[in-house]
Order: sequence, then structure tokens, then C-alpha cells
Amino acid sequence: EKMHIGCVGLVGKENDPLLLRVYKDSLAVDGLTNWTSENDEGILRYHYIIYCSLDMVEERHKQPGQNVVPTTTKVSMYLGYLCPFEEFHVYGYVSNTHIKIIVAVEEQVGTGTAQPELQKFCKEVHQLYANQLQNPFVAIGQRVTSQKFQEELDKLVKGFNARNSSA
Amino acid sequence: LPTMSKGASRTGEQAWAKVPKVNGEFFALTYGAMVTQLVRDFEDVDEVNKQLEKMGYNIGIRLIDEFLAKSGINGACQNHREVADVIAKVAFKMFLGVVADVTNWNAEKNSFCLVLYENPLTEFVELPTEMTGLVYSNIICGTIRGALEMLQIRAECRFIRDTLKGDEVNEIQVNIIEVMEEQMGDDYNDNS
Repeated sequence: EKMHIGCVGLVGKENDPLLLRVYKDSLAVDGLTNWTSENDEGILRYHYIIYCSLDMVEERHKQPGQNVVPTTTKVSMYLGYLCPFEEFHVYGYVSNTHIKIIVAVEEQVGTGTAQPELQKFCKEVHQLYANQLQNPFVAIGQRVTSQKFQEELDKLVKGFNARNSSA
Repeated sequence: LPTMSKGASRTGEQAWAKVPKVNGEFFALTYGAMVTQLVRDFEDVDEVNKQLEKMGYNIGIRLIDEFLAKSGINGACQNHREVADVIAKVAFKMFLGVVADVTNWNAEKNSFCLVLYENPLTEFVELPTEMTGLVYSNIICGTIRGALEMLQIRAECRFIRDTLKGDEVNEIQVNIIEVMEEQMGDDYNDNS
């Protein structure tokens, strides 16, 4: 039953990286600023996870500019399970403004268990993103640098990991 | 004195209940858009602070009549203490939906502080590191100064603690410089 969020990525409309938070060994690390391709190979993996998952996201969700036939069915922002990556299951969520939230979860069981909680988690991350966007000094499309966002996200992940750490 | 404060709180709540409301997020975003535009226009943080204070002043001189008409306050304040309580418990409540605490009276009783635990202007605001000199909510200081001036009270207001700069609370210091003599017509002289 053990589940552990390994990383949370935020990707923008043009598939530009907005945030990458890596959770390893009870530490939270910023994967965008504290990283160069020379040093830690550990962080590179997480970049790759996000990168690979974007293909799956594109399959499920039409990017702006593509020909979309409008449907009357309600499309959820939560995409669910996207793909596996070594010990991770990668889940995705796309907002109506084409902001993608990618979550890599280390799971020992099947992909069904995490779903409801992850859907709630993604919605909460989306809310945090919306909150930091209300800071008038933040430009649209820029990387998320808000201290508050980071703290709140770390708290959410910590809570998720703590609730799902019983072996 | 404690009963005056309680009476002011009740008056504040009643006034707040009666006034039309606006969505808090819309309000904060509007104010934020205005501040960032000022920053872009003036580029200098000190100048922006001055502009915000001036805008506040222009709001205050107009707002005071609305306040006196709608707040349910009867009669003039008898002393500086009442002025402080009315600002903190009635005015802040009626216009911003929050109450302030009155603290730090000086010995001469002409200077006090207003402590704000919540500020609807700054709910999601984080100041960028290059703008730590910006007094984001300076419009409030100008508003108090303008309103008091229409009541013949000349005062200075400034932020001495600011949550956007890492302080626990917001604190505005109000220094009453002088109470200008009321110009009364001869008809009102007792010895006429």
C-alpha cells in the first residue's frame, strides 16, 4: 500500500518548465535551479520523467492551435495515469489554460489505488498555482518562484506521503 | 473607555452589514494591477510610495462624508482616543471588512498605532526582492490622513511594520500634529 510522491512538475502552455520539485530521502529539492547537467545525475532522471510524460499528455489533450472538434461531453482536467517510468507511475493533469501538472508516484501496487487522492492532490496544486498567479508582481508564463507556493506544495506532498507510508 | 471601544465595534459590525460588498479577489487584483502599473510608470519605489499616499489622500477626503453619513456614528469624537477607536473599529470594518487594534499611545496622547492582522489588499502578494522599499498598502495611510484633515485634524501616517516585509502584523503609526481651530460663525459665539 506504500505510495510516495517522487516529484511534482509544472509545465507551461508552450511545454516550458515552470517548476520541478523533487522529493528524495525526505528532502525537497528544486529541480530547475539547483541543477546543471554536470553535477547530480539524480535530478536528471526527474527532468526525463516529465519530458517523457508530455508525449502522453499530448495524446490525451489537444494543445492550443490544434484543430479541435468541440464536444459537448465534459472533459476532466485530470488525465489520470499516463505512463510508467522505472519505479514510478506518472500521472497528469491539464488546466483549461494548458498548464500541466505532472506527478511521479512511487507505487508498489497497481495504478488504481492512487487515483482519487491524486486527483484531489492535482486540484490542490492547481489552486496553489492560481493563488501565486494572483501576486501582481508575477508575470504570466514565468517560472514559479513564490516562496509560499513552494512551502504549501511541500506540505501537500509531505501529507500525501505520510498518509500513504504504511507498508 | 472600554465601553466606547465595544460600542465602536458594534457600530462597525452594523455598518459593515449594511454596505454593498465586492468580491475580495477582484478587489485585491484591481489594487495589485494599479500598484504594478505605478511601478512601471514611475520606476522609482519612493515615488510610487508617494503616489499611493496621494491617491489615498484623495480617497480619504471624499470617503469621510460617506463614512459620517452611513456609519451610524452620532456626534463628534471628544478626544484623540475616540478618534483612534472609531478609525480602528468602525472605519476599517466598514470599508475593508477588517478591524484594527489601537496600541502604543505616547505620553502626550497624540500618537498611536493601528495594528492590522489581516489586509485584504495583500492576500496573495509577495514583494520581489528588488522592491523591498515599496510600501504596498500606502494608500491606506493617505486615506486616513485625508479623512482626518477634513475633520480639521492634521496627521501623519506611516507603516512601521509590514507583513510583506516579513513582520508578523501590519502596523500603521498615526501622529496627530494639530487639531485645527474650528472656524465658527459669529452666530455661534456664546457671548453674542
